[in-house]
Amino acid sequence: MINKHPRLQELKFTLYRIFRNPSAVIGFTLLIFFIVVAIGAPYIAPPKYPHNPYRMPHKGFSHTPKPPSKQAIFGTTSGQYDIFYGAVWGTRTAFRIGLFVVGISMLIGVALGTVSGYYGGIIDEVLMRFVDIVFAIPTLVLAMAIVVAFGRGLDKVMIALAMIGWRNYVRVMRSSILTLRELDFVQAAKIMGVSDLKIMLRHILPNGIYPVLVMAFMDIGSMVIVAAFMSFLGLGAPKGYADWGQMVALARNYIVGPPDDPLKYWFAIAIPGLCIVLFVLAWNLIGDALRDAFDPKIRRR
Amino acid sequence: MGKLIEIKELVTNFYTYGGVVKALDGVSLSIDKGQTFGLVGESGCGKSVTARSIMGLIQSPGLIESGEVLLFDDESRAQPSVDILKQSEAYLRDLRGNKISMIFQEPNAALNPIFTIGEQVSESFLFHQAREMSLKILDDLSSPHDKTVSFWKIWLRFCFGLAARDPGSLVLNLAGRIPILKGWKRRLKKEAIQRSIDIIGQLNIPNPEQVVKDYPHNLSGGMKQRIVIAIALACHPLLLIADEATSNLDVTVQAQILELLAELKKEVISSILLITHDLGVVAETCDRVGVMYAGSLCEVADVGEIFERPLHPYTKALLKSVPKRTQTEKLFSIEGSVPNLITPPSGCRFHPRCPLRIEICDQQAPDLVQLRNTHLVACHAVRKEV
Amino acid sequence: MEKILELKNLKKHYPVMGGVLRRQVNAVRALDGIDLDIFRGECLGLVGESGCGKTTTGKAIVKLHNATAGEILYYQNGDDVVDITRLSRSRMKKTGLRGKLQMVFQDPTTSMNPRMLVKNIIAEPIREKERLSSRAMDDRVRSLLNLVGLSDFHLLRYPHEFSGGQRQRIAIARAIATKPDLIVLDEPTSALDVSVQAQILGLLQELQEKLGMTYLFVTHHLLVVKYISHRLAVMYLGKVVEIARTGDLFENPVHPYTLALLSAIPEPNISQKTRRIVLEGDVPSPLDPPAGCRFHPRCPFTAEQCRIEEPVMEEVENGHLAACHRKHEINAFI
Repeated sequence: MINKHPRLQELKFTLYRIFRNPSAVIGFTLLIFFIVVAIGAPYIAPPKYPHNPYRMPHKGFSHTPKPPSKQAIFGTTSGQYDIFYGAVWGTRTAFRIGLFVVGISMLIGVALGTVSGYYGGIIDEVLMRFVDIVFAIPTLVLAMAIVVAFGRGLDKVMIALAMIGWRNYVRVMRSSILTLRELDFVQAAKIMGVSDLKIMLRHILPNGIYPVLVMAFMDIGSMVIVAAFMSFLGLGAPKGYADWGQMVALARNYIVGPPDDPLKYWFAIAIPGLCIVLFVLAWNLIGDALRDAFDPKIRRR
Repeated sequence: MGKLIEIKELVTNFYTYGGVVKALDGVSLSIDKGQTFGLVGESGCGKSVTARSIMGLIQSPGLIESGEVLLFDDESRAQPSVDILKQSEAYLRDLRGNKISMIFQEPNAALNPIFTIGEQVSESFLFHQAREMSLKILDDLSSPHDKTVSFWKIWLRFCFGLAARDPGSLVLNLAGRIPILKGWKRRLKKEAIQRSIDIIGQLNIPNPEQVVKDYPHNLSGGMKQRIVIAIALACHPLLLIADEATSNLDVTVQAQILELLAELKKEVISSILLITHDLGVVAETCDRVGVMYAGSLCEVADVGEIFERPLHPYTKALLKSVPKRTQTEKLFSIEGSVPNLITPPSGCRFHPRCPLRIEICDQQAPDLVQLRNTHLVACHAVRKEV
Repeated sequence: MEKILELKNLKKHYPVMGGVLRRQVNAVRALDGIDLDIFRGECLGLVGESGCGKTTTGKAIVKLHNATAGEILYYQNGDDVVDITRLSRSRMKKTGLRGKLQMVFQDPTTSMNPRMLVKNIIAEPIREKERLSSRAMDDRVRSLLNLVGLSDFHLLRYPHEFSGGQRQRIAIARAIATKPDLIVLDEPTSALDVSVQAQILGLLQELQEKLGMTYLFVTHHLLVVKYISHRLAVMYLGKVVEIARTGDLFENPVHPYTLALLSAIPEPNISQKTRRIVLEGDVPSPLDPPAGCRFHPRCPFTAEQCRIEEPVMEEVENGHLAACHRKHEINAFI
């Protein structure tokens, strides 16, 4: 048997476990598609305003959405914003929102959860009561408060979400730690005199991060929905910003068309809506497959 | 006494990510009625797989490729034996817990923490002995000293009459759902609990009336294992399979359980298949012993023969590597390690580590042959000498 | 014989909180006053059943938890005595004591980080003490692997790629990496197959001779401990009830619990049918130990005194101590 590098073998095995699940393959394909669109945005939909590519171009000011035509492949929404452009650049926005919010949340959540779970005692008590307080803060009200204080904008929404988004991760990480810290290899490290910080980074984190990772993947999708919701309410991105939620907001009055043709303006809602759904689906499917792959009971068959 | 179980050339494979694990490579053994058969071997040798095959409990990714497991159960059929592997799921469900029972290593995992002991032990009775219990209740109902006639009694007689004939009937099912009238089930449960108390008492557990009301966490490890034994013996099975049942227990508790099993063998159980890696336990409790290595049987003989005149080189090595009370010399350690069953050695699976290895050993796997009376060995080298 | 460790009246109580105000209502008396001497170069076996406190004793010695009371005196270099219970973990590290007392755990699957390469697992304790170049570290790890019977092949692999016996060898290599004086072995062979157990026991004996280490062998398996230990201490419910040279203990056991324990061992030998003393009931909980002698409710030889007064460890004959009021009469009963 040829000695293959062990870390590579591990990776191969993990990838096998993830991708033998058909939903993972679908999710991953969708994700790749979105990544390609996001990276290739400047080429797929060349920005009209080079300094601010997130400003959707609009020809005219008419409120009525116009159906797909040669100039606007997906049609235009209220205010004559090009839906195709919005869908493409909205991908970038979606990634920004998801990755930023979940990234910060994970950082804070994992750090607090590890410290709380590892040390236990009074530190644990104090931190958990603090987390309880944060849990009590309603997401929407916080977002509104920040918008009122600092003005409207997608970045304000992202900050609001990141400010409380970590609260779930703390608990999940802490419960992971509580099991791990009793395991023999952690005890062995303590006997060897390894410092607490090193134990947390080297022994506990790599073994305990899986549930958090699964949560994070699913959350990226959720964050996009929450941000879209905020935009729909008028708290998030300003009018004309390339954001799927924004575009749904623009089509607010045109969800149902005139009585004789209720689906007349389907493209205004359906297209940004579909983008959101597919994006969230991609992350959820991968998260699901990850959960199965990381389940220690069936991991090593 | 006659044979009870005969396993013929059982081959079982497990299809895993790493490859096909050839867990059992043609295992054949037989257990007589009233016999305690010890199956020894180290981890991975296939003893648990053999036991589970008997019960039809092999699930994906495992697959029983070929072989027969014959049960000589004379009471029910015209033919002398039934191949368990070829039977329907319904037959197997009737078999498990009733004719063949199994107890495992971890009593905590075998008992459900949210049900009382009484509920768990009576489950066995309710499932397997519904008919007998119904008949007994009918007898009680029509006892001569109770002459009262009431609607309730008539209803009860109706229900139990049905139950005695066909416990799974549709009418009975419906009768069990009508809000007030389904009270007859409570009577059945009471009878089951009474039987549970009886059997718990038989196992020398003090205060059975109190124990049936307790939850598993109220009991100690030894008690829990005894309850597990009670559940297994509830229906007087023909065969009790004990899969490392005492390995997790303290030595003094293990002594109690072994003594209990010895007593029970006289009255309640017919045969026991004891699976263990502890040769001491085997020496104490078993009549006949089978030694397994890497998926095949090396040697099968009566217990005295195995310990005093072992023939197979693996058996001899195993006996030498176990510390004994009178041990003075260094413990013998067998060279090498247990093979990977995905790529087992060719021919005899023990040949790479065997001191008696000859030419043919890596080409052809030896058959289990009778060398002295009832002493069977699977070894080319030994066969040559005899 | 030079002493290396002395446990004096060691106690470990785990408080049980209860009531509305969460005050201490009771305590689990895991260790309730242990006196033990361990001599340099010997293997002292510590036996008992679950709940007796043997693992707790082992963990107290390596400071995995802090003793509630009592002393653990470590005789570092003959005259240099240190009371370990008084030292904090960081102090122990600074004075270099950390590396001197090591432990090998029972389950080789959970005793090593599954995400770490074997090389790093063994190098970790060395890294804590000294800075070596990558080359020198590799050499050191390699020599350790050779000592325990493994080879280079095993360096760049994960623990789960090995069998139980090999993993335990890696754990042993890790334990001897810092050249310890004493190793606490907590059921090191209980999770292993019989033939592998023989290999590991052989290895441990070899290492003891080669490196002059002292072992505290904690186990419930009496025949294993008989094979490898020079002296044996029997524990019951948080106290040591008997201690003697291994041969003496098996031939002339004095304490009734020891008698019952020894007679309960299933012997892998057809001809020897020992008369068995089967104890009644189960091991009582350390939450509420019986008054007087802890063993009295289950003891077949209980007398009035046993119910009231707790017996002390006294010498029966040379090196053989027992804590039993009727120790001199036991022989008459057997």
